[in-house]
Amino acid sequence: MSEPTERELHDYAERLARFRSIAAPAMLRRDLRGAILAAPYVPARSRGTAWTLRLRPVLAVLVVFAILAGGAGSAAAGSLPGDAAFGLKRAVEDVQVSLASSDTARLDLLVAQTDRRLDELETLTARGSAAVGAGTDEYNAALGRVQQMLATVSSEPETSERDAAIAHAHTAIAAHVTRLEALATKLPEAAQQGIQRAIEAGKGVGADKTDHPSKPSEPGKPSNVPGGGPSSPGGRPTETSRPTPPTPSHR
Amino acid sequence: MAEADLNVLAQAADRPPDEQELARRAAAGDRRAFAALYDLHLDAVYRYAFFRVRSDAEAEDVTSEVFQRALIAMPRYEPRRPFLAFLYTIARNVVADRFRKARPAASFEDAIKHESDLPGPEETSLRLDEARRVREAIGKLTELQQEVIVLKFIEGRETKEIARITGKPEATIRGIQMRALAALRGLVSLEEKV
Repeated sequence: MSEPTERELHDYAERLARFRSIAAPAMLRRDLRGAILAAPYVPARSRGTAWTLRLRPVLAVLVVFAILAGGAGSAAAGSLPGDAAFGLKRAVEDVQVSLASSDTARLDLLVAQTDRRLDELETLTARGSAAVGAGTDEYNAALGRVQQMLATVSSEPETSERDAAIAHAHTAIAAHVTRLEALATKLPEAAQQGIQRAIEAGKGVGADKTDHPSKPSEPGKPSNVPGGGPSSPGGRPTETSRPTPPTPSHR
Repeated sequence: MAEADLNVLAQAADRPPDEQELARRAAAGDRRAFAALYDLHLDAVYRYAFFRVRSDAEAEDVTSEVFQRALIAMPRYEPRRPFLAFLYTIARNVVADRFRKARPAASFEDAIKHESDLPGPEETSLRLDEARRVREAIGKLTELQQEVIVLKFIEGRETKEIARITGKPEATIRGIQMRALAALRGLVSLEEKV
């Protein structure tokens, strides 16, 4: 076989270039984008070593398998901040959020998580547990994730589902403020700073309730959420409470 | 939604979204900025993976892993570096890791016969069939030839950029281009028009 001429190679290269029109499958595009937006933000200072970074995704998968295969799910489900099994509970929650079908579903899941964190904080307080500080930190972190997702959802096109999810989030967080204020009177001095931060952040979310859900928050308005999430969008509260969406059992 | 996000970011900056700015925000933990970068470069990463691995399903896995690793690595990303080059470097590593772990028994031909059940890239089936034949042939080239074919001739990247991504001198990349092209042409013919 004779060597190809320069012209022949040039033609061949041009034909190869037409594969540049191949695009990623729509399902991959959508699912991966959703997972990226829902991925919890881990500040650089607490990211750990290169080894833990490499192991983190593997650990997440192992955790889920361990829970499914080993029956650790029930132990993790009842765990509280400070318990060894609480990490498993959080890992499963993160997976649930990343697998949610839409940003509004993610927002609902994240709001349900703040409900859970507040229940746990109340339990810890009632028991006089030394882990109330950890419980407050977990609540603040969960609230930060809600506020970030609120900002994302509020930037999406208006739909009744979107508006309802935003309103539900505002109503839930406003109710949390009342419970947090009651809790603050029972907490030791050491835990006061954390809970006051949570109350302030919760009020910040609640203060936007009078705006219409579709109306974005004031540009450049600083976040009230611990951790410095984006400014909260507006939202009109509804009187009806939305049920927590079912946990997706598969992708 | 992808375009809407880009528009929001563009309006916020009162100018088209700047990749360096997006990367800076993404490195600071702004998921929407990272999602905008993802929207810009997903197809390029997917195509690279498509032509460097053995099946559509594996290409999807590699693409997911690339963005997952990129997200984790963002705090260490140097914004002056082109973001796509950063992604290609990760993609190279992901593909290399996969080939290192691959079982010797699983031949390229076997993998071709077991394509993903998921829908393929959004292209005509004819072009996709041809792309799969080309992928099979590319798999028979040396690793550096594969890089050159995919990055230079399919993706249209500059020689200098390919040299940076592969860690080879520009002269080496330039010298291998025509040989890689001739080798691939000897393995698979391409229809004049698909």
